[in-house]
Amino acid sequence: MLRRKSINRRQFLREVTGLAAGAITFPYIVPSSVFSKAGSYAPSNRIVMGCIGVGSQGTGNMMEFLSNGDAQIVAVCDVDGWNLNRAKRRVDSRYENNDCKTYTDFRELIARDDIDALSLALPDHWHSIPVVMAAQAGKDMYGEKPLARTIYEGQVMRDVVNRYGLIWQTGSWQRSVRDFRRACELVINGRIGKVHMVEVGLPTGRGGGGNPAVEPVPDRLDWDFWLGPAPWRPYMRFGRSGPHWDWRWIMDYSGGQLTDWAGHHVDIAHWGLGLELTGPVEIEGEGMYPRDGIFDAPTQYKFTCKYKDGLTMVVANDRQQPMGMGTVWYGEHGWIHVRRGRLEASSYKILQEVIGPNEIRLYESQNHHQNFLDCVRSRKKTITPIEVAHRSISVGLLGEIAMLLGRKLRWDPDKEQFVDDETANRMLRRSMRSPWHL
Amino acid sequence: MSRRSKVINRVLEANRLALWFCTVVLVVLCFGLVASAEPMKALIINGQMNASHDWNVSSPALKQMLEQTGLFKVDFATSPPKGSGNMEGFEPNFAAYDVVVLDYDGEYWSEQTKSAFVEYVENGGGVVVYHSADNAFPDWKEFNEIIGLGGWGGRDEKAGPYIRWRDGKIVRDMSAGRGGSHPPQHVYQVIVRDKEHPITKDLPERWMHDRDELYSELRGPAENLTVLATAYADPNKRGTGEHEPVLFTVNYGKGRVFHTVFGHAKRPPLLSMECVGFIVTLQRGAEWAASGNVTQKVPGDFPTATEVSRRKGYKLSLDELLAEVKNYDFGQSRLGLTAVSDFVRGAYGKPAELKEIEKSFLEVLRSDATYAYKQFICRELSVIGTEQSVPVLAEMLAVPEFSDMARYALERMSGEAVDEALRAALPGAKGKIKVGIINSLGEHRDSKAVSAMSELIYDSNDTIASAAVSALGKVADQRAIEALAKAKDKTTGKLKLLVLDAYLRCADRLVAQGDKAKALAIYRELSGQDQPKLIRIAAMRGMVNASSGTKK
Repeated sequence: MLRRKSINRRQFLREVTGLAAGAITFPYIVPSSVFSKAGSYAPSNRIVMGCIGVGSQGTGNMMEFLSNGDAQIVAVCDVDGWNLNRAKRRVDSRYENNDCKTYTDFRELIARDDIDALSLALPDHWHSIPVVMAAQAGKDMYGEKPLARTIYEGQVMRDVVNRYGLIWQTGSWQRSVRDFRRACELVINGRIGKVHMVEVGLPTGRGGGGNPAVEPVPDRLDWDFWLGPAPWRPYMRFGRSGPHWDWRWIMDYSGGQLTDWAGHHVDIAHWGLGLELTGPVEIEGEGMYPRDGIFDAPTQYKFTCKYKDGLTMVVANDRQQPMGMGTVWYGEHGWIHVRRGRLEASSYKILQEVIGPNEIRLYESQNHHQNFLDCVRSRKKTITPIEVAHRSISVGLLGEIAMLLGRKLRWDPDKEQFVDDETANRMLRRSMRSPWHL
Repeated sequence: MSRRSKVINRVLEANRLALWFCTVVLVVLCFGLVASAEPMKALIINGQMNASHDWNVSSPALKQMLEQTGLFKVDFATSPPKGSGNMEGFEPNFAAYDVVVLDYDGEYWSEQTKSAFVEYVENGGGVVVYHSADNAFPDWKEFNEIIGLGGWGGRDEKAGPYIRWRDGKIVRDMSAGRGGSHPPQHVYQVIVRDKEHPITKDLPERWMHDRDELYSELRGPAENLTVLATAYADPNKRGTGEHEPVLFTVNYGKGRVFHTVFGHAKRPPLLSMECVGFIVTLQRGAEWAASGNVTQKVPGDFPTATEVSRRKGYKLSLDELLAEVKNYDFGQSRLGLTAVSDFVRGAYGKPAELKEIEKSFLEVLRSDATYAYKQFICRELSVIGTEQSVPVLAEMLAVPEFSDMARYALERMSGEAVDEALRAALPGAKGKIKVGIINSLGEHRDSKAVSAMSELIYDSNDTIASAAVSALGKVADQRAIEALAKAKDKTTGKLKLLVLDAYLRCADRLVAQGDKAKALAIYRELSGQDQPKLIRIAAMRGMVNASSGTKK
């Protein structure tokens, strides 16, 4: 019952709105009233979801969707049996049944025709492959930031999601928080004048983490699957949660705090500047990398990006930023600083400014997960579509490459290639361990 | 055991059957010959260090400095890393050396190793205590007697007095307080207090030491201690206001100990180690500790009372760095690898140097080095590898254990040689190896591989077939498009969907290349009622995008 209705709805939506969705251009200026804020749908008309990756962040997202009457979670997937069983227990206890199916291979979950949409929360090195496969199967997706581990993967993901006109929401949830949207609206409407510089402060990284011993793989874990496309290494506990969580500080799997948070504060910086579909033309900076220990992502980092119109963006860990965490735009008439829980400006008058009816209103979303579900129904773009997320993390990844190479790099944001730097261009991608490919 | 007695022993052993008077003659002859022909042996102890310093940075520089004198041949005795629980196995053969240089602050050595060290010094062995090595072993009585003074590690008045230079003489200050501190790094002046000692003889009385920590308030037994030089810890630089001993010697049993507090080293630039004052006093101190004499002349670039003087470029050669990591495996300290990576980074932009580095790396790949070490080398080659790497990597492609890492390096490289090697490996490869090679050829958009891929679409192995389809979608040239067009009618099920996806991907590529007519033909073909819904929608979107010129 559930299955047939859901497929019909999907087909209907695709056919009616698929073409229109492709024609939407930026910036998105959409009144919030077009989105349904209605409460619950009957279970038979809910968006049927599966969750791939149910560790800490994945569980957080799953709980959001579980508590949302628009969605019905029918399957969970994880390579760690412990995570998997915990997720099933939570889903079943919410729906008071025993129906939630468990998978250790995401391909089997994606192969289910009755599933409309996915919630994805995997380590960064596992971001691209499931997205490509799920897109080929026509699934809409809520996926975690940062979009991809490499710029090339991000390009492929963006292209495949847009090829099929799928709905994609990136977990850059700050966009759905009032302070951030307000800051961006003030900036984009010129309340501090022309912006010449923006500072992005992200957390300072962790140290080397010691050299944990090689251990037998726990029974509950499919280690080879966890590694997936990344170079092989024997099982070892990266931190207290085994392989979970602390993969973040190992460059095979992530770029550390830099790439974790670029998907938040760089994303916000771009939003306020209308630079969401482009990138810098020049990148230069320096990072400090742990010399020993299993963690090799930079702990301290600072790099400067120049954009075509002369704007400078300085991305650094908070200790190297005068204003610490968050995004600060500096314009001719003052500055605006936004971070979690705080919105400040050089003058209180700036914050009291009213945005007029003929000015730019940015996309409004009160709830990031709800926005996704609304868009799955409406077939409109979400507040953080995939092409935007790609450009946000690109800044972090470009900085990573510039710091690793230790030289100034020139970047062509249209072709998405470094200019006259073969070595830097190599670092836009990584070979995947067989059989994985995009 | 002193150098002289060791030589005698060696000779005695070699001549056990000789007559006594002959032996005496030989001893006299050999001593003269050996002393000038064969360098003395130095052993640098490292492997663990506190978080403020990095032995992996300092030890190579110390080695180079000592060997530059021509007087020493230097070995490392590297302990297991902190927390490994293997300290029992750490048993350097101290007795085989003329001088032991301490660059270690970490876990306590085994009782056996501790007594071997004490015995070595008692019997006349030389010791150089370098900078943070005097932070080590606060609770080991004999060690503290040997080093004379130490700092940190909870040291206080129970460790012994402060040694102060006041009114022209040493004062043993018993007042209570912490042992060990230093003001922020700065350039400071050193004053020689013993102009007759072989180490400091002929040095200028005052000279400037480059930016360094000025170790202060060190405490210890300080017995048989001779202060050679002090430095004033200026309160304006947050110093103690005392003349702190910075170079001193200790006599312990028959052993000679030279202690330098200079040379802080965490990461380059190593201003404090590059100071000629540090280098020269280290070299002279080590010679004295090993032999009791100093034969080296004070060089012309020694710093003066007003000017610092620096020698740059103390680092190991790549071969020496690679020798340090030759047994690297997962779970071990990564320090040696980091040093190799730094070496490579230092050569970025210098193609000739990089080619030499690449050659050394290829030697590693040809050797029976560990998987972990070879994996590291492949990562480096993925950035710096050139055509000269191709033959070695091509061989690895066929080896199940190494195929993925060979591709890791090859896939980031470009050029006909790379593609040719991948294509050549394809027919003989099976299973996962074959899939990997197909994937790499796809990423390289290798037109010459299209015929082979076109056949592989129909391979009985699903994974191989879908990899070939995906690769053709990436190549997206005319022949790939034709192969996919044909395959869409000859495949079914899941594979057919992948073929259609790859076909659409080709059309998207044509649009990007400006060949809209050809793209539209594909989109039109795929928008027919007979196609799956998902594909029809994608094709219609493609048509709209192609006609409107809308960017993605």
